[in-house]
Amino acid sequence: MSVNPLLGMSAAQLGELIRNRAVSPVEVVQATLDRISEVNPDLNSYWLVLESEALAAAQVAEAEITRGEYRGVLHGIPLGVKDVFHTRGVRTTAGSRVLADFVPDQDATAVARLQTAGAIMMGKQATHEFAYGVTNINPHYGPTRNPWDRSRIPGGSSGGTGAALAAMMCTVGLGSDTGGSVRIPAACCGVVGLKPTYGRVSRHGVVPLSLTMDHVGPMARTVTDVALMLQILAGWDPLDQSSSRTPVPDFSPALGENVRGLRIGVPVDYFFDDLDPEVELAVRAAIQDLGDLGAEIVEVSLPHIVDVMVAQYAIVLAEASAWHLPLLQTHSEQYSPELRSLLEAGCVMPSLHYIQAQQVRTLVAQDFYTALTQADVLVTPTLPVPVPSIGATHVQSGNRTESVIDAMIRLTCPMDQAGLPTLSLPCGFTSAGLPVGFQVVGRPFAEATVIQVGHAYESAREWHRRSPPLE
Amino acid sequence: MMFLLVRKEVYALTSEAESIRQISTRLLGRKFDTQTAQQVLEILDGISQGLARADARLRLARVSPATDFLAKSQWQVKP
Repeated sequence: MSVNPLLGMSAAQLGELIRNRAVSPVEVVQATLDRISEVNPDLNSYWLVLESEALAAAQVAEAEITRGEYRGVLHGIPLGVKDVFHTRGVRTTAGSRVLADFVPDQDATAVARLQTAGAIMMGKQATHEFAYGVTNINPHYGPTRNPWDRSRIPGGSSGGTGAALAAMMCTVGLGSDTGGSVRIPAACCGVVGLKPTYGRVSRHGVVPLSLTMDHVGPMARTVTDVALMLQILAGWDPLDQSSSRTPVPDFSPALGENVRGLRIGVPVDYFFDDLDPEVELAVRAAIQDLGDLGAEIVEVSLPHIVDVMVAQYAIVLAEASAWHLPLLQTHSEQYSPELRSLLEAGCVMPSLHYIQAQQVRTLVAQDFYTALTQADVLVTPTLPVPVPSIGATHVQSGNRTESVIDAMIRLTCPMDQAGLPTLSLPCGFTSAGLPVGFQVVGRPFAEATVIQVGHAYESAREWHRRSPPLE
Repeated sequence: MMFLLVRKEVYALTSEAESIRQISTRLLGRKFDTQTAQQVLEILDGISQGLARADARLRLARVSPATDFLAKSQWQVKP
């Protein structure tokens, strides 16, 4: 199977060709649809492909560009959307049977902004049931498979989007992140995911999981593309009470800057405990690379972070159950038994536990804020282990045996609690050919610095140029 | 302190499977079966034990919950 070269291009590259009318959006969208037909039946990344709608939108884009009405770099670019985002007139299931027939009458703000910028929605992509999990093994719609090894998970809960990007079934994607759900599939699938600062990108029209920790974030194959997407997604939205009025800078200068003189903080606590040796090797090498690029490497401490996991479970349990209560009262039989038990536990959890969890969260956030006075960004692994197999319940993380869910969120959920901008990008592969990712964590609303560091590293190492062996 | 005592009493009640079943009847309109109540108890026990360890380590009673952290001055981190 030969792959159309357009499919492997970044949005920045494709956008330039489309702007110059060297390539038509119709050609790009048709190539993407062909690719979806070829590989999606095996990967189960898309649950709904909007073939006729995407082609019609591409024809409109082509006509607009021909008339000189070019909207910008995302005009005519294929976009994949996790199926928790409301899409006007298009079924939005959130991976559930409960919402199996739900057709919203308006778009989520994030979807609307990308479409206004000219992006073309190719379809709705697979997620864990109600985004409450990290494997994308969905009891109602089947598992999504990892393009690098189809016996393995793509990570989740934005796993359909991660797999589709790696398999070149879309050029850019839209995910959501409550405990790591943008960054986990990014790391598992060898792509890039950005969880922005809490409040930076509107959550209006997104089926919620945990309202004080839900974030919307861009996913793509390059740091440049997530920066281009963030430029469009970021900004105040009166329809989202958590939305921030903090001004949005121009992120493009960050894509040209080096890291000389920046202080890269490496946590001595928690983040490097119980790592798979190959993962640790790759992440330590990335830190060394950043040092070689001129950054100053400093050690930082996060002394209260040890209890972050139990706080995560308690907060999500309570907040998810609060949102689901009306549906549990009327549609409980349509939930999977596993999710129903969790949500029912959240319904009867003592309020004391929720408060204690939020108190732990305060200390975790304070640790980050202190560390980020000593460093411009922090660098950590995204996952402690290589990508787990489908069906695995436990993994070996260094000397620790832990559940898959614990392993997947252990290094990502702290930044959801602290609300900090965090980028995951590839930093190598294991000997079995599985991607490894690392995180760059920034100060509140300092996405530009995170992008600067990620882009400098990506430009030096170019892991993003590898593609999975799907043929 | 009074608040904590009251909450611990509530927890003592809700830690009993029967109490959980009664709450589920009021909240969800149906009574958990024994297996469901047991599963719920196991989940809550894990969280309860984890938070008890955190409380012992961190002395949480003196810490403000993070529910309004966006409004706090430390949100603007300066080098």
